[in-house]
Amino acid sequence: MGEITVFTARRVITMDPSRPDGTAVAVSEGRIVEVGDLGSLQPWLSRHPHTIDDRFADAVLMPGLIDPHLHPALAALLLACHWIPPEPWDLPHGRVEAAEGKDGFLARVRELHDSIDDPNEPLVSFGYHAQYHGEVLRPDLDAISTTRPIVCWQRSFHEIRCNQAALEWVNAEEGAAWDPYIELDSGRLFETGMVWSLQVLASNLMGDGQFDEGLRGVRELVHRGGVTTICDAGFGLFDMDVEWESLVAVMGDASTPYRTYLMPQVPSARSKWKDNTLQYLEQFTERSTDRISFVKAAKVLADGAFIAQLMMLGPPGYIDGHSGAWLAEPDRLLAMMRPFWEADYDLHIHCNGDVGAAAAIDAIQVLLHEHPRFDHRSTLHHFGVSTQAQIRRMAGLGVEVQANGYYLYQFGERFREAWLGDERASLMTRLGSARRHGVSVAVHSDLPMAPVRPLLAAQAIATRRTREGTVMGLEEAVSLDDALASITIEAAYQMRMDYEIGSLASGKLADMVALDADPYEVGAEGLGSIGILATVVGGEVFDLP
Amino acid sequence: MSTVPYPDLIPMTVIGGWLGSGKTTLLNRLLTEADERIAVVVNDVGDINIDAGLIDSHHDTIIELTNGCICCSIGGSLAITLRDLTVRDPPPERIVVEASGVARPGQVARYGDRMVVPIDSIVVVADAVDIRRRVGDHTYGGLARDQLADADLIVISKTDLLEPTAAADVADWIRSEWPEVPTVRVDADSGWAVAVLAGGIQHRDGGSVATSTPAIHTATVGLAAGLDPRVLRTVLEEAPPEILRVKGFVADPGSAGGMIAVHLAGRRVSFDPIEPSGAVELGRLVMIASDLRAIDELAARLRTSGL
Repeated sequence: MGEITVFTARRVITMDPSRPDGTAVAVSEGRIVEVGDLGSLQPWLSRHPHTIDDRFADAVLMPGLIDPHLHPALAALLLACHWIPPEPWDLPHGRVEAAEGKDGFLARVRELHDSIDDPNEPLVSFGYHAQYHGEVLRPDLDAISTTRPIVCWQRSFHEIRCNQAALEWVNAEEGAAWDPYIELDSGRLFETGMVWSLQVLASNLMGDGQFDEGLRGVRELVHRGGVTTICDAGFGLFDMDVEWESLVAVMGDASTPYRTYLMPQVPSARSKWKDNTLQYLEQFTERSTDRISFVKAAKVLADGAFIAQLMMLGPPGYIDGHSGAWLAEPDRLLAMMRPFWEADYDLHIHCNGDVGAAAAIDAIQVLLHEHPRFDHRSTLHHFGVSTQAQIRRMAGLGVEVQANGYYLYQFGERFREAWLGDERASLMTRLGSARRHGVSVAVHSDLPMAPVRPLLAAQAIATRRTREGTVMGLEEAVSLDDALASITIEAAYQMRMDYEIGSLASGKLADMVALDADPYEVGAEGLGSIGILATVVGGEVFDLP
Repeated sequence: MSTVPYPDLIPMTVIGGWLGSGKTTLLNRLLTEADERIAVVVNDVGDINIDAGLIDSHHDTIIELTNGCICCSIGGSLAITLRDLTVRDPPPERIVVEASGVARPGQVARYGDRMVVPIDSIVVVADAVDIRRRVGDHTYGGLARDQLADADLIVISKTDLLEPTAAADVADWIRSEWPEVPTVRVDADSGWAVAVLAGGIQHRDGGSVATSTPAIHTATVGLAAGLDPRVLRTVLEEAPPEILRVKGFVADPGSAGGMIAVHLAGRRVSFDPIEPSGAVELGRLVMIASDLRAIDELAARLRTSGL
């Protein structure tokens, strides 16, 4: 054993119910020796050289937070945009306030336009949302500039609004002949129409080293969130080789204040490798660096996005009668999952609507019947709308939940009014029921869909209080313990990393976060306001920038 | 001189139908049996099981077949996929798009620049075994019904899995529910594939035009000895529009023992020199038409031209 460092703290919260807390944690060679107090640690300290590090003496230490589902590559792309969001964000370069209403939104666009000298340089903004900013159409943007392409990327990523110069820039006129989702009069390009514009937009936002710059921004956001482990739950979304290279360059070495696990996005891999996807992935995923490695898990997607309200809903559907969309219909979803299931991969299934959840649960039931597995840890991700009956099936089949803790907080009230009605909006991310049936519950940010603020997500699922202050569906709230577990040990469990991270116990990795308040003292309502002081990864302290 | 009004047009066929109805089986058959250079666009090339012996090369998202056909996946956007297909060299002579099992084929048919890829037809596959249950489904019945309503031709699949009377009942039921849409049973009438590939299905363009069941006529016509291939070409280029397909082989007067493969497909005529082979019969053309009189007329023209 090497030298021992003992971090003393006002309180050490272990998230291990067998030994819940202490006031000191002994660390050696990157791992935890024991949690206890200076007295209980004596059997170790009396026999080994050690130093007492009291820099956290007034702080509270807990296991480093885990964000088990985010998208560094997509976030890096969007960080190259100018943000005009419906809610405030803390971005790498500083805080961005919410834009209120149509006038507020357009004023921000004009402000950005005035700040850029070259009259032809494109202005690409991100964050527009019609539910918050009204209908911003081509004439509104033409009134700001007729020479500068102005693109307003919707908050859900599924749509852009353009002025005439931007329509020309992204070749929208040609696109409108080919794609029914490009409207030249209104300047709207949505769904596949938005994908058409990516032919121009992606290279504009990813060129000139901007992608790596964006990833450095992601690195900072992760660190500030008190997070010591992330999982890129859609690795290969754009291109596996390009993403691997940039991730290694920006967050691959031991100077990085967190560990990164990669979970391949099966549909993207399949478009590259087709029927040989599993064999190629098995080779590709052997690689690793000091801080990056792969989980033996596969990401598949069932139905459409929550923020764009393209999830598949059963009756009575959406208030306005629109339809959701499948990303993979039930039979294709099952076929995509099967080879990974048989090769003992954990399956992580993106599903948002109750019909999407049904497809995912049905598929697991079929696979369990065909090829029984124990401890399979299949997990439904996002979990917008579900039913009580589905929770019971999940409990029976051993299916876990990883919710977006931010959905109700940010979108609960607007989506109740516009799309879902009171019952299904109030009961979105039905986590209280999941816990009552013994289903594992973790939460994620899905960055860039929500900020990397696990403590805020924990607050939201424990209080069911929206940003506006309304409590919605209190019966689906989880306990404070469960909320804290959802951003630590339960997230680790779902990544099959709970033997290494997620709680503080002898032999586990010394990954911790130092807080300026005790979560059990401030209670559920105060979790999001707790300050992050520093993180510790493998025993090494990383102060916040 | 050509009778082809828009020689660059690439007709587009959309194949729809519920999940598991048999679309992929039909697509696979079109792809491997096509005489023209068709491009099949599917959701995922991993799902279409092409005989390995027919595969020429296998790129990221495109499988090229030895017969010149290709199969590619939609990837991010059908619009981009279609545009990219039309600028290939050589371009495909027909594009067949597989609509996802839960998509409305009429929606899929909205993709594509109509000045380049006119809609030729929408073919919807209905699984005889469970189409009635699908249409009655609590959640998806409406969508299954809408898919069939979009069709210019309904191909009833899997009839061989039912007792003959049950299969006939299903076919009758489909015809009574969608009386304006022609239907074919995949086991009873193999002409549907020829009709689809030859542009023999009339597109209803929003469902406004009713058509009868497509009739397909085939005949073999012998050519006068010594008919000049240039004359043959002119006659074929001016063939009546009811002629859907012509295929055969003639001797190449320009080279001793040389042979030419003659094709008419989708209003295009091509004469391609081939390796001499004892397996082909020279001087005979197989003709397929939607009206038998058109074959008679073309045969008569060939006889008089040969004089």
